[in-house]
Amino acid sequence: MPFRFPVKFEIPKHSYVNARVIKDQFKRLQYAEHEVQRNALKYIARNTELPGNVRLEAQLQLSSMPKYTSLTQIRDRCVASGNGKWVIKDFKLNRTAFRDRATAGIIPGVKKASW
Amino acid sequence: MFRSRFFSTGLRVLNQAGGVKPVKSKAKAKGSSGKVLNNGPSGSTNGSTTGKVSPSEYLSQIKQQEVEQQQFKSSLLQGDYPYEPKIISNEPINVELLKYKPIRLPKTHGHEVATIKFRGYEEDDIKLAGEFVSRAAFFLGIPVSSIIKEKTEKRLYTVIKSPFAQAKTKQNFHRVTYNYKVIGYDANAEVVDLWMSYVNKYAVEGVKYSAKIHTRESQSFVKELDDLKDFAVPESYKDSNDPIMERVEELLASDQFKKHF
Repeated sequence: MPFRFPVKFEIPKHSYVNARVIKDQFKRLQYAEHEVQRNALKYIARNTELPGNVRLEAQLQLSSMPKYTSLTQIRDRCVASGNGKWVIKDFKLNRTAFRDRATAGIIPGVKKASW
Repeated sequence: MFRSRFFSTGLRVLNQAGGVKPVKSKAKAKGSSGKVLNNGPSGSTNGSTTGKVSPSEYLSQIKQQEVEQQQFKSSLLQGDYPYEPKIISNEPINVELLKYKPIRLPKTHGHEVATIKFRGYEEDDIKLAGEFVSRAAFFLGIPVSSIIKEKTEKRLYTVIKSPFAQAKTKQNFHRVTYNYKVIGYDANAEVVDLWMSYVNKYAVEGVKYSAKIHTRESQSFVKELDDLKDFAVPESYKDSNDPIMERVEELLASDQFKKHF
């Protein structure tokens, strides 16, 4: 089976790992690597003081960059279960993972609320 | 007429003695006048249990109270009461003081020099941290405010109770974050630095400390700024070490972009 990703990278050690988590990790690493280049191109493309051709060139280069270098491709995933849905950002946990831990009293400061 | 007036004085005596709840007797008196007259004798009998007094006796009682009040006032002017502590331990005084609320020094000018804020999920931890800070301030000679409570934050998390489907049944959790602060007054910058570093060294785990430190400038500060000759505002992005701007310059100098200029 051929290697799935264009470059080799490290598998995340801090979280639960499955195929989708690895895919997301790849995108995160790629975005970090190309962040400066993307922002520089964006700066040129949106700078109205530069000639139109220069701006167009920058925009073309920007759109020809691979999709996995874009920030919008990154999605928050649960650290405990790798789930991509219903992730509570404060804890990086999916609702079920959060509920298990909260009821067990593992998460600092979180208690069952009743009023 | 006489009866009703007597009843009212009886009520007053009762109120002062505190034997019977005054609210109840008032509620009784609020009823129709006929009822009051009927209840009159029973009220007076109640009064006799705590001590029925004649008008002349009542006047003498008031006189007695006035004399006692006068004696109390004159005793206050005599000076301090003799102080005899009940607990005497062999511990050094600073250890002994840990058993009491932190002592605070009086402000000399009331100029705020630093505000330390505490933030955390455990209220006891924060209070411990706050007391430590104010004790440290006392031994460094910094006047501080009391440990002031600030607004408590409650973040609510409502999740579906079931791990799968049945989304109607929810469960609520909340995270309570407590905020406290201590304000320091009238201290030199060096002393405040010492205070901060000491507090930081022995910081309580689970409490987030943040400090706002005030500095004071001379009145000629603005003039001194104007007189500065070497001072220059950086020219847009060019003087900054922004990697994006470095890349922009690199790109604009490249062959692909040069041909468009």
